[in-house]
Amino acid sequence: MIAGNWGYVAFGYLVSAAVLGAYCARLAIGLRRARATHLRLGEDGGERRSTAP
Amino acid sequence: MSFASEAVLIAAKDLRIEARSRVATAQILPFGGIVLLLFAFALDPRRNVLPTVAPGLFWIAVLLSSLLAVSRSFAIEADHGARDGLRLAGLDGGAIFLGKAAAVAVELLALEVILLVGVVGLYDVEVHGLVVIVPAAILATVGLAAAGTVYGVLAAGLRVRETLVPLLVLPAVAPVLLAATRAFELALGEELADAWRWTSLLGVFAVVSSMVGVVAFGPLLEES
Amino acid sequence: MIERLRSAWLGALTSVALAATLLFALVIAPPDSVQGDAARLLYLHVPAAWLAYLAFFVTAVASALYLWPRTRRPAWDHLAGASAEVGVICTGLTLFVGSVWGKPIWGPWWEWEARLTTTAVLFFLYLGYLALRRLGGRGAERRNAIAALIAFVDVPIVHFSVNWWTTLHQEGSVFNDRMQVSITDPLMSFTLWLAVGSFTLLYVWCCITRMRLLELEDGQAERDLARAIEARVAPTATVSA
Repeated sequence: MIAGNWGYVAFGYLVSAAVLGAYCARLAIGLRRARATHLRLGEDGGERRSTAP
Repeated sequence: MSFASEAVLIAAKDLRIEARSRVATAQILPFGGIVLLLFAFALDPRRNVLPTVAPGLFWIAVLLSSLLAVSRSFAIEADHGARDGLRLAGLDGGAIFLGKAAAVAVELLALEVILLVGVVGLYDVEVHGLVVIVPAAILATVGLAAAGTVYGVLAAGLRVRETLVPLLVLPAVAPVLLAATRAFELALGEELADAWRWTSLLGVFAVVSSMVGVVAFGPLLEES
Repeated sequence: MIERLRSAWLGALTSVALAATLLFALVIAPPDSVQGDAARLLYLHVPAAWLAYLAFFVTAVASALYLWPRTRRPAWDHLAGASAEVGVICTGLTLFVGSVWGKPIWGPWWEWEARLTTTAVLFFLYLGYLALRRLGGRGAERRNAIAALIAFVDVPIVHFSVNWWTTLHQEGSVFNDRMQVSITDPLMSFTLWLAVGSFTLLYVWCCITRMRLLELEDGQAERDLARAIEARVAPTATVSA
């Protein structure tokens, strides 16, 4: 019973960590990629949104 | 033109279109009927569960049909720039909302009468407590029509409207299904006091969703 | 640059807090006297549920601020979107962890318990909102803000009706009592507060990062449009010259 309970606990924690970790990783990677594009295309150093002429 | 007469104008327009195009009678009504039949196939009538679960099945059939009615209500304005016409007609947004919601509610009420006859006949239900059943059905229908119309205009003009409307509407009207089913069950079991409590919840939902619609419809129509 | 540095600090702090939470939740905190080790899922379930409700509340407030003409800024729209996204993930986790917790305590994976059922409806309600947000288009910000407020108005009605349903005509209170863990141990309550705090930090970091990303994506869309216009205008310009 006790070993079984640890199984449920591990299952819960592992899946939650995987979901949150995947989301955070996606955010971090997406931000890095967006910044890179921004630096390449924008003229203002990527800190402010470039405006159309 | 006053607020009320604007609403009546819109409702009459929608109902007239439905009366002439016969989409409601030729498509939505048969859809509700086949859903009732399918429930009987899923829950074998010989197992005698149908009379007990009939209120829930009835309201699910109404809920699914209401999705079609709402889609239809905005599909009639999708072509020939009809929605632009409605926007430019100078009518009050809240009045347009009340008119369209009233038209949907009238269609749904007509559908419910026929489905109710079907349920009584097909599922072997004995009707008791009509005093509660009638007001509960009316309030639930007003709530369904109001919430459906709000989400209908929200999705009007979007390319994915047909798939988006059910996802938006069904969770939002989950309380209506819950309350209407309980009210019907209790009314059929002659527990009228408890049935009235659920009916009052239906009333709250109807009032809240109508108020939300009156306020939000105008701005949403502008952006659609 | 300063903003990036601050975000990095926040990220580091969040990681440390989450690591500490794991340590306390799984090792240091004692098992519950009734539920044993299964109660350790509490330190996941409660903060996730708290974040879900906080996130949807923030979405509603940000949407209202966007709709109010004096406070209308794209940032409020971004905050509403970022917060709703984190909220939906947390709602999903609440349901998942609640179900995993329920299995050893209740027996079945799912009980029609009031809070879980309400959370399930909220999950779908806000999935719809996110689906609407993904569409974009003209006037999307205003439309999304109104949709968020409508969804938020629905929350108390859903909560009330589900509550009534599970407590009035079934022995609903039994479910609640069985899910309840009586926290008398100070170490357990500290762990719970630590978990809530570190999850809130995680929420703030996710929101800030997602908002920044949305802002950059918006800029990207604007630049694409500007370039498309330039490409259309350029040939005629050379002809006339």
